[in-house]
Amino acid sequence: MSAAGGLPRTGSALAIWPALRRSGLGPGLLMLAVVTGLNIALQPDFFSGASLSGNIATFAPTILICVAQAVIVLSRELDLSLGAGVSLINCVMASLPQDKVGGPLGVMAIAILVAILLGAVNGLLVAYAGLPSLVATFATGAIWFGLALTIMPQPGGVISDAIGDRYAGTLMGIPVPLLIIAVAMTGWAILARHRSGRRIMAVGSNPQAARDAGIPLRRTKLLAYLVAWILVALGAIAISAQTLSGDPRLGTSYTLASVAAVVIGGISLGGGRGTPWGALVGALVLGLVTNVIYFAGIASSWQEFVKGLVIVAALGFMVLEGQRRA
Amino acid sequence: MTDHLPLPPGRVTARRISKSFGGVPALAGVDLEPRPGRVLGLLGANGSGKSTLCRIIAGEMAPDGGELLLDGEAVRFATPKDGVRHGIVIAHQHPSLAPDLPVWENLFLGMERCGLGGFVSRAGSRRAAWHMLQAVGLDIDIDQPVERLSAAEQQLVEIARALSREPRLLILDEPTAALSAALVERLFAHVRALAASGTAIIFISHRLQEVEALCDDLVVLRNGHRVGSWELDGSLDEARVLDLLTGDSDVASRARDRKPQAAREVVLTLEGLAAGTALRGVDLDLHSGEILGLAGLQGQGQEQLLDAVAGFRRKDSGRIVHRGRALSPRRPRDMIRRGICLVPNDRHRQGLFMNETVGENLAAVSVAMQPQPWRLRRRALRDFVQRAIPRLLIKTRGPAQPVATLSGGNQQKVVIGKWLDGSVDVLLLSDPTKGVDLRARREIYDTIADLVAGGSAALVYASDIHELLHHCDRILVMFEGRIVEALSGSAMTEQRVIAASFGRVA
Amino acid sequence: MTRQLTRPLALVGVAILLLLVGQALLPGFLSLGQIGNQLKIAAFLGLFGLCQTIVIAAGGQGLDLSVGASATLGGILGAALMQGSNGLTAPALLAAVAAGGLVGVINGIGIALMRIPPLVATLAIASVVDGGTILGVSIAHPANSASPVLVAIGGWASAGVPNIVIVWAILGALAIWLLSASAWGKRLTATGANPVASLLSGNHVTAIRIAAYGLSGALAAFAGFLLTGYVGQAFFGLGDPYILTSVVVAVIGGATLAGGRAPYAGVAAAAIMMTVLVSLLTALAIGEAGRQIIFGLVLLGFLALDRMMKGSLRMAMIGRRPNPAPPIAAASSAADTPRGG
Repeated sequence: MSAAGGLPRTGSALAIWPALRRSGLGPGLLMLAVVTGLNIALQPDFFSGASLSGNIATFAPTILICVAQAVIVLSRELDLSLGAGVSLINCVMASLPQDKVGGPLGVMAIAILVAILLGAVNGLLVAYAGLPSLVATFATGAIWFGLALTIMPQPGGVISDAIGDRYAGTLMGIPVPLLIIAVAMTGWAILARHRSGRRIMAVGSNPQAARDAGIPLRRTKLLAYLVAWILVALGAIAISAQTLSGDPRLGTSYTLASVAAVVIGGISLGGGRGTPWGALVGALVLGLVTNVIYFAGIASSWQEFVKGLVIVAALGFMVLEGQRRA
Repeated sequence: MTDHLPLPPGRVTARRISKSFGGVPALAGVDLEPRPGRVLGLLGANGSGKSTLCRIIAGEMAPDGGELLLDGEAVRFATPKDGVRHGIVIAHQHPSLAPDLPVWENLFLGMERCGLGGFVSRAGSRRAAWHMLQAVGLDIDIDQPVERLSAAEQQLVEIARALSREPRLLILDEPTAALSAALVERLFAHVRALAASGTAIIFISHRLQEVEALCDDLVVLRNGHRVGSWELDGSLDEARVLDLLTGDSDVASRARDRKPQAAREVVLTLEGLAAGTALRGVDLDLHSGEILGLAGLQGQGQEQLLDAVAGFRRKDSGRIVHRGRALSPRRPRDMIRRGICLVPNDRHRQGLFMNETVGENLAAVSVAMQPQPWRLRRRALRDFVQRAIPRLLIKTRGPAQPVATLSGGNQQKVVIGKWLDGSVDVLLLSDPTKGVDLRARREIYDTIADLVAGGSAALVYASDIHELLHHCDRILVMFEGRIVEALSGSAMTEQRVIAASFGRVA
Repeated sequence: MTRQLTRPLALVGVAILLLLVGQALLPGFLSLGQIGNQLKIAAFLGLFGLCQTIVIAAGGQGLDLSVGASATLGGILGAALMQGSNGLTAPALLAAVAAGGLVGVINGIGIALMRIPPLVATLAIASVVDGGTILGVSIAHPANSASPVLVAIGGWASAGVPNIVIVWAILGALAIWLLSASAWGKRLTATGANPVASLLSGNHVTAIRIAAYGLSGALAAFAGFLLTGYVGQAFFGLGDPYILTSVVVAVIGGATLAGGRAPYAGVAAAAIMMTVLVSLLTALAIGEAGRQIIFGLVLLGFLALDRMMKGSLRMAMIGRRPNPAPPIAAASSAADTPRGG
């Protein structure tokens, strides 16, 4: 019995750093600390209740959509239709006769149903038809965008104020956006302890081994897509609650943001490695960077450039850290 | 593992199984009846259909014809899981694990121990995992991702997983390829105990000594046909087996004619070569006309040594001197320019372009190394390929055949053949006959011998000691990243090599 | 050989079919002028498709999503330098191509040396290049119109054939030769198919990949420069419509993201087919929404077709699992991966 083995250790709660290194979350957290610091420096009232809850309300959609992407990436696939899907869900919500479908709850239920449908189409194409996810979801993304344009050629429509009010309010003293994020992350935490969640990781890590072990590959991948799209629905509802109208181009930027957040969060695009918490960190980094650029009063012509540089710097940082780990 | 009740007696029988791939028959109506409580040895050259047969029995592949009988009743397996459900479990030759998941989760992959509502019971799984690994002699941190384990450890995890599924038929597909002798012994003890409890076991190996030591029955396959089967009573008629395997009984008996190492010039000198943790300072001289063998247990730095000399792994310290010139290669290309060529360990991942044809693969080095990138010397390449195929005795329909459809031995010949267009001065071979049948093995060493006869030299690492004893002029034994013994002439004996492999130098 | 030609011929066939359908529905759709116009548009799409063909062939999930930024940079920089003068057109062209090449080389360094996934690396670089271009324009307020010569090359025709189509034909022929009949092309596809085996066969894998991205960037800038001539002036966002459409034509043309194949004839045919399809839809007054949907469906259809063909091909050729070495072997050595490159 060597020292390395011994009786099974129950995972020590204090062994955070090794776990962080293993999950690849370290650099993401460090970046989060840096941008938070900058934010605090530029925005002295960063910790005030209003500012915090405002920030959370703004970041919530990004976070949810990035976590959705993370779930799919963990299963060794990718979804480039998330952004267009957000737009489509938003347009559906805005074009519904709000009162006739059961008020805000009805609208939200329909949004979730639409999302599940979209996720099922992507999941079936990728898992069952065996199409490469990068291109297949790019194609479905075009279709979602086309459908959004069909429903709503111009930005417009109305989403009931009730949804907006509820989103901006609190429940049991907790801001609703924070609550949504908490529910989503708890949902993942539960799934990750369930057989199905473990199987998503196994399939992402080595599909052939998973298949040989009798794990239903297709069903597992489909599940990853469905879970992700429920998160997308939450994200779409959150952003619709802020805009209170429909826009067929609303979600466009989320697709690439979600991929960037996944990378910053230390999730391997090769699948199986990392956790959705990384995507949450990545999404916060992206959101705070935007804040910093805004509060630093950078001229608009510089903003794109600075944002690009920050992402490139983040990538370089990730790579250096990754090489050190290797 | 030890505390389960054996399943009720059940017999799995394969009857007249046939399977062909793209019109090429891999199995032509093969019967196999592994008996409960006995170990059935399955022998056959590469491409004889052993693995295909086992995959069909385990439900990983559907047969074209024939049937599987379970206690006399025909069954059909749609997925591997159906096989497992009927107690048929296979441990693959190449571990089939999820690299990012912890060891304990891999042990229950697809068969998670779950509590209420399908939630994985962590504590119970981890405790069971620890016991399973102890049983096969593996003492490791079960929380680390499997990718951190060595090849041997991964193999043991694969085996432990198979053992834990309480099989009534256990298929071990070359389980010992990556294991040291001590671990093999431990595994065998375990397999015998399992057989004694009534399990039927199919054991595949290329190592005849292991089959002799473990098996009760023997079936020999050749080209998808069953060519022989008999009960073993503790000893194996090696000549008969070799005869059946190859139709050529003196295949193994032609030892290399060793010439005295008189004033041969030194081609390659290594001084204190170190790279990473695996290679800790190696000195050696390689002479012209020589086949120098690297022996030792698996994972003692032999592969890393060859990789470092080939420029595939950066050296940390030490000198590589080739024909009087010290070299610090940055990439294999630097060494290939000087005629130092590597036949890598993993031919599928490192040696071949699996989607390409035999001809394209043979021409790969010539295309890469020719001076003008804008030209393609089609005629010269075609001539070279036409010469290389007969020279290496590659069994192929022609240069246009996809390399993926060749047998393992012929694929390996292609990997060696791609070097023959240029001038090879030092040929480095990393386990060149892994998974290669006996005849191809001999032909590969004949090619190496031809090559060194022309004044170049070869440095060969092989996991099979007999192979090295047979074909090399000298043998260096590596242990923990260093050379611990140099043997030549009459000192080259199995005993000396094995002793040195365990760090015991006479 | 026949297999290599099936797809381009089929795609051209589909394009002709679409033209005939267009003629049937809308008389005049099949006029010579119309066909010339469509070929002009296809030429640009085909040039951007060439960028993707090269980097996809280089493997490792190769993609270049910075072609739009490089093209915009090429157009704006070129216009700024030539200042509408014929004499300065050639030096401006060289500068534009060099700038694009530089962007591509930076991509290549990020991808081949720093091992950033191509999707991420090229997107990030694109945002920097786009940002830098905006910044440069807002500071320098440069000239933005094309010289008469460039307008002639980009928009006019010689003897009935648009000049830009001639340029495309020449470049396309060169590309087909480079990718399939030169040693460099073989090295590129070998590297894409199996980078480790390619490295061990003596290829300078890093250099090949960097060169592939450099070539892609230079070609994109060249296309952006010509686009300036076609449109008449350079503007921000000039190359953006081609970012994703170029990937689409590459995939329809037969490039597989796994790498190792560089079927430019197919990609060129796909560029023609897609152009005809889009113009037919436009002519039928199908709006952006319908076009997007049809676009997505066509792409899905081709993916499914590919999938079916690959499936039957694999059954016919290989049968057993083509690569018995499981990924775990790769992953297990990742901790101390040999260096080199």
